[in-house]
Amino acid sequence: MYFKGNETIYSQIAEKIRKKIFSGEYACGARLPAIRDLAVACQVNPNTVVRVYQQLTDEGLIYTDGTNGKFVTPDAAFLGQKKREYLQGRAAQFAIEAKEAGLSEGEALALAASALAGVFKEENR
Amino acid sequence: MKSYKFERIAKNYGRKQVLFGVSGAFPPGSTVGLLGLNGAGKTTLLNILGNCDRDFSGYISLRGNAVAYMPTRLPFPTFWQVREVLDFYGRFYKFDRFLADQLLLEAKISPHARLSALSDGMRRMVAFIGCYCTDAQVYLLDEPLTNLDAFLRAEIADLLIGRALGEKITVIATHEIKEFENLFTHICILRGGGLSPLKDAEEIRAEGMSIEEYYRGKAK
Amino acid sequence: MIGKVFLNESKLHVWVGAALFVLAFAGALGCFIAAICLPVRAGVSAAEAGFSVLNLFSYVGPLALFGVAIFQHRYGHYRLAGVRDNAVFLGSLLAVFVWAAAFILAEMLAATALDAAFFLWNPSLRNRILQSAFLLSLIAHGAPRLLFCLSVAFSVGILYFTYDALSVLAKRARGGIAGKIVCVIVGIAVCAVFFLSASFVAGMFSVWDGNLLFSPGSILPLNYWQDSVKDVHLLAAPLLNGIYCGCLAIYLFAGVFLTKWLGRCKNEIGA
Repeated sequence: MYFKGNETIYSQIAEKIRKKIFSGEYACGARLPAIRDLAVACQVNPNTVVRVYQQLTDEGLIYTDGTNGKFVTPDAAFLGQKKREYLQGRAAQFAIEAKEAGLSEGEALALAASALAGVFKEENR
Repeated sequence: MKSYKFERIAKNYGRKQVLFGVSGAFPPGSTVGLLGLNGAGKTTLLNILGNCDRDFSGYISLRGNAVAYMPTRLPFPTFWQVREVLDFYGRFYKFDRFLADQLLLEAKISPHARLSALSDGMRRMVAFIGCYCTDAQVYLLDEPLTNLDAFLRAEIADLLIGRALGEKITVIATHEIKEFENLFTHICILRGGGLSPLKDAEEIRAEGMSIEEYYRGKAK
Repeated sequence: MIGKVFLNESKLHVWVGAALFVLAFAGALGCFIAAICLPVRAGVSAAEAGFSVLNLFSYVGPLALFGVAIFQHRYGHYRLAGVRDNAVFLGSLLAVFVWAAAFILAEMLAATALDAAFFLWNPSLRNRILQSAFLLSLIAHGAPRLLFCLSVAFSVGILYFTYDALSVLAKRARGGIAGKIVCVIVGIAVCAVFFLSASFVAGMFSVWDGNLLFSPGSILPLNYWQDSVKDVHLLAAPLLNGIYCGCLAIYLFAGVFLTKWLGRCKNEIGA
């Protein structure tokens, strides 16, 4: 797996797992890969994976079931809320970037609309 | 388990001083990258820490067979067979012979081959297997990937990852940073006969630098 | 740790010793078979030749094992395993000592067996054989001659001990290559002078010699001490001679002191 060298590895892995949880690739209540397996798959130090799982546990997205491993929280409502918060954060980021780029609100809205249309049209086809 | 400490390690060859009082402390569970240019003294330092060189001044907190060392060149007589080398490890260390035989098989090295008949890469693999299969507290590896083919490199990386959880300390001396960049928990740089303080790898990245960039900045 | 080094060193010793023993035995056997088949005069010569083979190998064997010990005199892989240099030396010394003794013991048992098998029932042949041929036969000298194994082992052990002390001296000597060569030459000279004097003095004070308390065909030959009654063997340390043992103790003490003072390495484990 490729990682950017100038960002902490653990935050990059955490982000990847978060995306997979929100997209449903790791479904509600699903079991996450074992620390060692994920470390080997990503070719990173397993202590980094420990840190990732710790962070995601702190965020409430996953939990540890004794020695059975780590699981995505079965609380679908909570996950939905978290997903919303996450996407809201991304939207806010886009808004800030658009403003910093000098776009007006109308131009930014148009941009967002065309992007959305493009993605959802793919889906509808 | 306590930290692995070494203090004021100094080494000279005649009038040429190679190490000027090098000190370090590696925390348990860490995988430390010992980085430096060719000729910086990484092998010299590891030879000292790995029991092979005993003409130095300074203090090391852990010596003897609590330390497993993979040198660039195996110090065994070249007419020995691979299985004799493993017998030797078994005799002097707590050694997992079963795992060693498995790894030999996977690397397609015959236990009955003489060291002199092996290619340099295969000899290095034997050195790695000997080091890896011992039950030690500190593992020192000197350029573990050099001269090995892609398959063995991947195998070694996976094995090192497999062991990295726990209290044991792994020290990897290399200038091939790309291969191990994401495996290091800490790095330190040997330059001009001195060792930089230990830096947490993720901290470096959090500051917006890759390990490679940090090394380039510090190693010259 | 010394035991582990001993086991590790022993492999080559056993192989070389066994190979040489088989050679000696085969050679002697061939000669003895000829001895009983040939007429008496030729038979005596053949018998003496057979014993000479065994006696020759009582030099070749221990010296070959000393050669093996020198060949294996290295610390690299032992250092990797965290073994102290001193333990490596002691383990190697023990190995050369034990296997030299074992070799001579095997030869003596072989000589005795062959003597019994081929000549004991043939006194007319046996009485004509030179007395010195029976160096290794326990039939001729009795069980006390078994001390000969120890005696040879000590000689070889002293040789290896000296080699090791000189190698430490050479390693630690300053003044470049020239300085090292000078130190080694001086060292060898000192050892040689000491040993020759010790042997001479021991020979002079025969009252301290346990050998003379026994009848001719004595237990242990003396170094460099020709006697029409006793056998001479250059590798036999006169262990029953009090003076010699005293000098040997001084020599060993000096050697140990030298290696400890110079130090095998600057920063030994556990030091």
